[in-house]
Amino acid sequence: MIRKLFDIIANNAVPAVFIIISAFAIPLSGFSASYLVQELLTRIGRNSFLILSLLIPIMAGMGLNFGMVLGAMAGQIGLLLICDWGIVGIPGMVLACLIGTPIAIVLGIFCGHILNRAKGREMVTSYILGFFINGVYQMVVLYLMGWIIPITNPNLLLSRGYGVRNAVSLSGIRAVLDNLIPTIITNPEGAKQFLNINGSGSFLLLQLPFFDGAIRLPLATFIIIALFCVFIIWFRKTKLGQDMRAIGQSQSVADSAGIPVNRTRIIAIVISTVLACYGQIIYLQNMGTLNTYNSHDQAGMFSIAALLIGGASVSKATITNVFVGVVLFHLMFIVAPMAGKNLIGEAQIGEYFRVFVSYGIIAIALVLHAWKRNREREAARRSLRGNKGGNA
Amino acid sequence: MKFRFTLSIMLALALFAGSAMAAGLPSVDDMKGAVKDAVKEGVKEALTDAMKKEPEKKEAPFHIGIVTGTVSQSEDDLRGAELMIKMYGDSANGGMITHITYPDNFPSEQETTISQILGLADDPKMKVIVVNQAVPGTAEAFRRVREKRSDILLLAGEPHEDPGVISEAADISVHTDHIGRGYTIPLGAKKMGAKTFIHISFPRHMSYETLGLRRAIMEEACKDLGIKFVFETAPDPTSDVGMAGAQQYILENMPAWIEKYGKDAAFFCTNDGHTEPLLRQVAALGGYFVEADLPSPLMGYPGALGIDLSKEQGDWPAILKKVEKAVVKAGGGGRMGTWAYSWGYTTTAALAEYGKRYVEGTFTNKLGTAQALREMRKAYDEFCPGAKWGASYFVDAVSGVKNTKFVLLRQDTYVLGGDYLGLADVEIPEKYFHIRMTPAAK
Amino acid sequence: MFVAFLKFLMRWFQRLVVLAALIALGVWLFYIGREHQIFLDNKTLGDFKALEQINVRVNDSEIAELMQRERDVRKVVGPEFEIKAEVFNEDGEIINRIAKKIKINFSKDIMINLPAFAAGEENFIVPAPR
Repeated sequence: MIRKLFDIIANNAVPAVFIIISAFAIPLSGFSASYLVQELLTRIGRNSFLILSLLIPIMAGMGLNFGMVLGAMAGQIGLLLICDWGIVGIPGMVLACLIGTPIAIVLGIFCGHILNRAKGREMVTSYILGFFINGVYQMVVLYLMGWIIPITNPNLLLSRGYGVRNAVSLSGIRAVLDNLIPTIITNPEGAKQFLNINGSGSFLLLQLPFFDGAIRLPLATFIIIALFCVFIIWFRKTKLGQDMRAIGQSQSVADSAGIPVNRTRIIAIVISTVLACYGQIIYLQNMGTLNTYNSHDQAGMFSIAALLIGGASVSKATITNVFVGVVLFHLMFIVAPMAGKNLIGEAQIGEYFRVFVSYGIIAIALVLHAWKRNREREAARRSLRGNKGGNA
Repeated sequence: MKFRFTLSIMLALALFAGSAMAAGLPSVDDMKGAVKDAVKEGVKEALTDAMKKEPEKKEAPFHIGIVTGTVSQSEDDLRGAELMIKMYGDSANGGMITHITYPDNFPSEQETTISQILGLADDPKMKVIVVNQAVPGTAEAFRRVREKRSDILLLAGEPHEDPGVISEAADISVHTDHIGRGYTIPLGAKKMGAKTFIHISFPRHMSYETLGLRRAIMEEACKDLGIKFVFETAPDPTSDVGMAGAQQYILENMPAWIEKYGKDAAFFCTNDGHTEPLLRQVAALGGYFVEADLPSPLMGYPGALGIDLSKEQGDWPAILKKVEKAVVKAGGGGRMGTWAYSWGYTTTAALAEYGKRYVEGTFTNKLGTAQALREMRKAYDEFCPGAKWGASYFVDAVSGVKNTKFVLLRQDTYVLGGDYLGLADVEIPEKYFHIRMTPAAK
Repeated sequence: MFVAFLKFLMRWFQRLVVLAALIALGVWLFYIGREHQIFLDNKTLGDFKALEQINVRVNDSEIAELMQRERDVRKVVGPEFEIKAEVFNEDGEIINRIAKKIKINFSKDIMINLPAFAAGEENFIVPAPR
């Protein structure tokens, strides 16, 4: 009985640690419930697509795809072009996706080929590949744009005539997807207040009697995320999806079954990269500003961290892991600085506290994963031996 | 099995300790002790506060939120916030000021910056938000605050985003007068006796419209004043070489630059981190230094010349005197200058003070008027007795439109071991307002 | 053999069709989504003297009041827009009202010379400033 309880906690150790720390940090931070819910909804809408793009390579046994940052860069190039041409609104966003797709496909094929030569070491290889392509991207954006790639908008270019500026305002596509179906959740009192501030205009109003404060819900973004989840569930059942799962189980068995292993692995990476491209565009339309040289830096790191925190492992990840992970990870990010500041009384210690706790927790997550995997191996070995009982 | 488990946990703890040290805190033992005490105190306080009802304290009528960098990023800005806390009290203890920081790695962590600023708006008593320096992400954060709370006054100090972008979101932005100083700094160099002007920077800074435009103006001004303009590149401290690598580069290349351009060359750098090694080399080897990008007696001089200013904290005239003595002793007298009062420190304090006066209704004129400009300058003068400030509204070089939400300020330069250069009263020739950063489109 | 070759051809033909459709989609998005700046210029052009005052409204934007020799700008999304103008004389009375639909097609910014426009002249579009 105790063993069973221990097992349950141990199998979900990482989310458990996060929940416990959050339980302490939330009251310490002093934020109101409506603020936390609003921030979480915004972040779920903003980040989920990126994290969902990680599921397919895991299914194909290729581990955590750090190469999703390649897709992020492809999306950013698409955004730079539509900013130059001045395309705004939903057409702008769709056109950016359209332009980013072929770039993401090419980068995905390149990444897939390299990963095929590094079987068993995909994660580290894709991590380093990310740095390499980052260099290529910076060369394209800092030297080729404005010179070989025609960019005419002076707000985008540096003073020397070529090269893109550090911060590009995405005011043309700011929040277009989020506000496509504007939805507010509030109580009847808040509804009146909201209408006073923001005047008329069509939006959906969900009224909950006990709710304090008004919350904006990016409904269109959530619908797209839901469609994506349906796509993943459907994909698992297709022939290609089954092939990938077979490869994930065992490459040699899949090969003898006649599945083109290398080609399927490349397809898995290409799909992941293209989806990361769309995910980054959704992320940036919510942020409203593009840091040309930095926005993609943490795309891979944070998405993977969130996925791990949701309880996923290198070989198995479900859609539940994605959403649990995004909620817990970002909750920590929201409350930790304020909690640290209120705990110790100095503002900058709050910042160090956040960095300390957030990245330290990622380290713990990886350690606990390794521990869990060891336990599973032990348990498998024990069951093979016929469970002679006792400790390891 | 158990051993491996304990080993992994110990390694994780060592990782914590290591990352804490890397984050720049004092030694692990000091830190452990301090954190233990602080945590004990904090948890006790937090729990008692949560358990009992709020005791009757004298509560401030409204709150002012101040967002600055940490000491490792930009110390002066933070010290200005600490001054305001001393003057008006911390909101956690019933005072007015809520002080938070943006991440050190702000180029990559824009999400955190935005959410930090937005968190301030969650406080129903918040009436003013000051962000100094307004790093990328501030405009977006301000837009979201505005959507939630239209009653908060939003003030941006030294914005990193283009004037057009930040003015759409903030009520007032203040910036060092990059247009005026593009002319006055080379002029100051010439007055001090320089024949060459060397501008040291890197691509990220030159992509900022304000800094890039200033460089273009400096080039033109040097041509008109008859001194040679040279641009030298140094590494960006936020790149992979880090602050240490960037500073080393300056230290190592200065002798070569002095050799190439002579001892009557004036040096100027755009990055705070580059300033310290530059000052050290100018004092030791020769050359001139008019003023830093964000000038202050504390900018670079204490570190470069090993000056201990712990006793004079907050007393700017005393700080200036001590720095001047050290500069003259090191042989740099008459060749190195600064502003008598720190820009970063004064901006944080003046913006918070201005915001407080606006909310209290001390001046009833609308923002964007000549009167509002005077009030801004008054707020600055208040924290800098004895120094002269010049203030003006930003005029867009392309359209010629005056932007009344963007204020430019500059202070007179004081030469250490010499006197004020009288640059605050200089009339900027009209042509410099029409110089553009980007060349005309092909 | 022939059947296999035909299948191969069909597959590539289908792919080409899809590619062409995507490019067409891209061009259409470019066409309908582009934001243009419409410069409104109340300056003398040849025989058309600058108007005393003209109030211009582009689609549903704020009304731009332009005295002599003034210039203003409005932003518009999409290939065509509607412009409504009222011309005033020195006494502040409306002496003319014009409404027109203008197509921009693929250029980025355009400048409308208002005196020419108000007079009903055909070529009232002049090169936009840079």
